[in-house]
Amino acid sequence: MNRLSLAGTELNYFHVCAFFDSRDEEYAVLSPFFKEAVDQGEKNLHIVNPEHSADHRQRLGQAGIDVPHCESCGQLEVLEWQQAYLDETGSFSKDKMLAAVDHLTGAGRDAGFERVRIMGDMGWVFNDIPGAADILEYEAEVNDVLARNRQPAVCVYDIAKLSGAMMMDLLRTHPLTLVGGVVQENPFYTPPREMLEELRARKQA
Amino acid sequence: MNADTAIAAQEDNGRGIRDLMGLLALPALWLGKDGRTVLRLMAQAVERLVPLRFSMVEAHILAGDAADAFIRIDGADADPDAVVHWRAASAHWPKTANIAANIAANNGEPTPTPIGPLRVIRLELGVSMLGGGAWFGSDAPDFPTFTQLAVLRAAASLAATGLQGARLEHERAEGDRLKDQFLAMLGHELRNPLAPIRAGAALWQAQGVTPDQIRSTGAIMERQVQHMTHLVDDLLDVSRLSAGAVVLDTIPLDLREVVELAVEQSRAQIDGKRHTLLLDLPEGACTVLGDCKRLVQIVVNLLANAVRYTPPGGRLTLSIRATPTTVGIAVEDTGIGIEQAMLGKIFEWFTQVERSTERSDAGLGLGLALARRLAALHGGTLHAASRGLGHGSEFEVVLPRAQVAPDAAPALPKEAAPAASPSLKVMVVDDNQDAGITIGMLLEALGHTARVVHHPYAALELAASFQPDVFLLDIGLPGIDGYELARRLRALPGLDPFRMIALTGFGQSRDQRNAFDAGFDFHCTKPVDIAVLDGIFSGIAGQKALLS
Repeated sequence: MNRLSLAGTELNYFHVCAFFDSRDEEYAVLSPFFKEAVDQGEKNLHIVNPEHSADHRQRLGQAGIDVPHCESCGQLEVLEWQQAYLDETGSFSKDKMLAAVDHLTGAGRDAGFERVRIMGDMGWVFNDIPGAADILEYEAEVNDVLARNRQPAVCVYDIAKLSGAMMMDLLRTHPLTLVGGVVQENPFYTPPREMLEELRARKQA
Repeated sequence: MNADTAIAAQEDNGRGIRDLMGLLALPALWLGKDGRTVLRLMAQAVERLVPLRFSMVEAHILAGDAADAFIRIDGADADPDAVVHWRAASAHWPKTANIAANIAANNGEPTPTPIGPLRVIRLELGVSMLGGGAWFGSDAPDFPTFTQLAVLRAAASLAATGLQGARLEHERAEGDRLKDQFLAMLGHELRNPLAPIRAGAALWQAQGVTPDQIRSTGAIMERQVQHMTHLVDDLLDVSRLSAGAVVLDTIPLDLREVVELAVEQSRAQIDGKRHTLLLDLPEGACTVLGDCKRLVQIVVNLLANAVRYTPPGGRLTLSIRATPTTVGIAVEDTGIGIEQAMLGKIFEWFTQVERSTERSDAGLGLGLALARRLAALHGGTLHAASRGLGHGSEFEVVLPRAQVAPDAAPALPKEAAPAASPSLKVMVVDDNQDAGITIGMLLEALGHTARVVHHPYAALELAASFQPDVFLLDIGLPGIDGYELARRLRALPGLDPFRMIALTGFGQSRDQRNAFDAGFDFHCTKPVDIAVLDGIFSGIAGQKALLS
């Protein structure tokens, strides 16, 4: 199996919560992760803010990735929020997204790529999107999907937009964290079943 | 403890450690955030870990600010108006994290709060109560468990550190901003006098310039140079006071004479803005132990401040207020006044400038800061009072009264009338050609014979043939400095008796000591007041006449 590293750390888990203070920091840390995939013949699947699509491709190019070539051969697929997290009505459906991730990382994975590395810009969560309240349940449940298919996903959050409570919840739903450019196994990670129970209890309260 | 209880306790401990580890990620959220946001993020975060009904955080967000407070109730921010109500309610709550003590203090009942009786604890933000604190309340019957208390303590400690970091960052950014503002103001203030000096110089070179024009522009240039000299002196004083390098020449002084000298120095400014100055001085002597020059500087600065911030035609009152143990000098004005919030800040080096930028004639605004520090050096205080904008201001410096009989205070030296100056032979050594040539021309104009050289070795070579009565030496010279040149001149054979004057930009007290140690008789700081230089030459000429 190819190497799987992020910010210089070998990954033993597949679901990473990455907090960044700026886009510059984000690309400084994640670009080597993307480049490693390209160099090893793997696939990058990126879900980005539509406002940043062009900038995203430009930054990948600056990191030494041949973006047009990778896109034409399928090694890089850049989707916008509406093509992945959000449906045609602009809503988030947790179950549909879980099924999509399962398909992309499992049976539907493009032939020829040993691994697909998913990066999702989670900024839409803060945009008053219908269904966004289910994000924590999604983040908890997707752990099983990624672990089963053994494919890595990095959820990118802008620190400036997080409340203290949201940060605590996000930390509890990801077995790996990337804070200040350092990847750490997350001792605060709460097993999905326990987390889902707590989330349901909160809803009932 | 049965097996189930033991397992539950073990699970609780495990969760506690897990939650504490989660809290450690919290400071990542604080980067670049202000103190208020840091505290709010902390309060939000602990709600996910501990079953809280409310939290109320009170802290001094910035040093010197009043305590700020916010409340979260049931996971949401409470209306800011509720703060007053909650603060009143919490006034009698025991400030303790010991829930047993808290409940005992309330006759065995939970603490009454605006949202009902709750189990309430208080944690300090930091190691003392000065940093502020956080109240946490819950209706859970076992609140706070050992684990919950550990989580809340960790959160409060982290937040205290975050708050301190945010304060330091704010102070750093504020310092940078004020420094930039100060440098901009300094550039402005130094450029202003240059304009008339440059215009005057151009006029002198113009064809057809009349002697009257030369005289009047000369006076203008002299005034502007005087102004620049004061600016530079103030800046040097800032440096000296900050380094603790100001040494007072303390003698018994009658403050009435200090006031007279200060008024004399300030008269042109006061009259220039058509202010009326009322003096209210006691009949008897008011003796203090002080440095005359520095005390005059304090009063001059206070008067300059009053002149500057009072619209033309205003009234200034300068009074001396004596008590058995203190003597105060108060300067009142009918000027623009000072906002309450600014009263505590106007004595800071740079905050002064902020106030000053609002006015075109503001100066560097260092005067009050210098005055307060000079007053402190005398064991005194300087305070400001104002009833607000538009209501004038009052500044009062209060000094300890000296236990010296009033008549023991020596009369301040009056300036002696300059004696007629017989001609002297002066060798000027300055590597700045313009400076050397102009001082040479000035000496010639004063009736002396000047020889100007620009290198110390030239001075050593020509000294014996020129036989100067006076050497006027710069200190920063090429090859050897002025001190070394002085030593070599003193050792040079074949010279008639002579005096040496150091004329230098180095004006600190240690520079004076160095000069005297090297054999100089006088030390003058550039730009030298011509009257001072003329006085020195008159003295030397008088001694020479006596000897001959």
